[in-house]
Amino acid sequence: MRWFRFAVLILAATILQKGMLARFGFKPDLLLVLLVFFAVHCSTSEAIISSFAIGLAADLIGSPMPMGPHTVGFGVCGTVLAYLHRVVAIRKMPHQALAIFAAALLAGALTHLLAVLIQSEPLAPNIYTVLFWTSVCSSIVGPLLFMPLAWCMNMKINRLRRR
Amino acid sequence: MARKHTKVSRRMLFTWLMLGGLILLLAPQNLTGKIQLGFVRVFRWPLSIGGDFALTANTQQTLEDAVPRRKYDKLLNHSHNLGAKLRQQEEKFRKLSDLYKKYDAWEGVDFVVADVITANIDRARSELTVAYGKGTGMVKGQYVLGDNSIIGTISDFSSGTAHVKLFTDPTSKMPARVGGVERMMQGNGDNSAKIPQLLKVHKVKVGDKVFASNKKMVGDEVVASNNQVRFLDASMIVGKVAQVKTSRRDPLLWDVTVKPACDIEKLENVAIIIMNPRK
Repeated sequence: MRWFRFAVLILAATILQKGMLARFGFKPDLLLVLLVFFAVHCSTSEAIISSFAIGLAADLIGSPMPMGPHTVGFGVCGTVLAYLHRVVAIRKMPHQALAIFAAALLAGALTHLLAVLIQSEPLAPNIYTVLFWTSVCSSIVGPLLFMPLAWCMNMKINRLRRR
Repeated sequence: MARKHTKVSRRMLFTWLMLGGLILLLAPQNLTGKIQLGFVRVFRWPLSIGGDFALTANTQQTLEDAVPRRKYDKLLNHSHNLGAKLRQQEEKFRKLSDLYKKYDAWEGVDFVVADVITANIDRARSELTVAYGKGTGMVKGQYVLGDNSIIGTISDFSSGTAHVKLFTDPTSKMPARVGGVERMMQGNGDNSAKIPQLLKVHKVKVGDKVFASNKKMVGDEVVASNNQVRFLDASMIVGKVAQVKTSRRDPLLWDVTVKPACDIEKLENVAIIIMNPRK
């Protein structure tokens, strides 16, 4: 794992998500796509570290939600996905889309649950609709980004690897 | 010297990182909020470039009529504000003694102009991140003006950067006045807000102006706030009634949908209203 490239990639995705994509109504969650990518294509230990790091990046731009829920939510979700990948291969695009969809729902639900339960944040009434459509957008866009991401990280993603 | 590798088990790694996440989760919100604002301040330039790019992509088709329409809306809002202020002054003029004749709604009020860094406007959240010059007297809850109309309140701030929660945010609640009645207005998330369960005896129609109330809200009721901190001395326009329909819960009530009085997405700067600024 090239950690410097990883840091630059996460920073770029964070800025893109907060700056350019913020003005669009329905948009993919780029950080979540990255979470699934690293959970699927890295070793389990690397996947755990990268999940928490991506969660921290999501927390930095997660306002008005305070920091913490994304770190824990993404961390748990990425770890579960990394362990799941040891059993089930996620290689084909439909499988990747399904993994992104499920991860987006799980991470989103966990994040909002933590924010409401621990930090008493008000829950938006339309949060389930937003969560669903973000998951759909991410699952459509995500698999298409896997190839350029692999190129950026200098990873070989076509061979089957289970750790 | 050869580097010494220490092997950490996955379980231990997960435990430590989870512990870090939980510490962050339980840390004081004003501290973590400052970290979020600090990130935006550090990366202000690329964030605003990205926002401008998206804005240009969104508005390319309507560029020809966007500028005059915005100017028109801005002046119209200003006119409505003056009208509301005039009516308030006339009412006070009739009721109060000579002492209150000199009352000016905006006397002792300071405006802090802030540049918009990013705008997060989607169904989940509606929020602006703004950069303001070093100003004093900034507190949470202060009203923010965009094109002479109220667009939201300060939700968080640190030195030089602040988050503005728009009144269209799904978690936002703001006292508002429409059709002569003061009610709580709640954000919808789709660039609109709603005033739910308004009695049908109040004649409200599409196009009516909605004003931010200078009164305090307790639960869903708006009450007078003479003894409490106020962030607004005079009513100011927030938006216009876009839809009036019968409430699903009770056929004797209206559900009123309110659209902002200005195009919030295209705002480049806003003004924060500082009541009773420290000298």
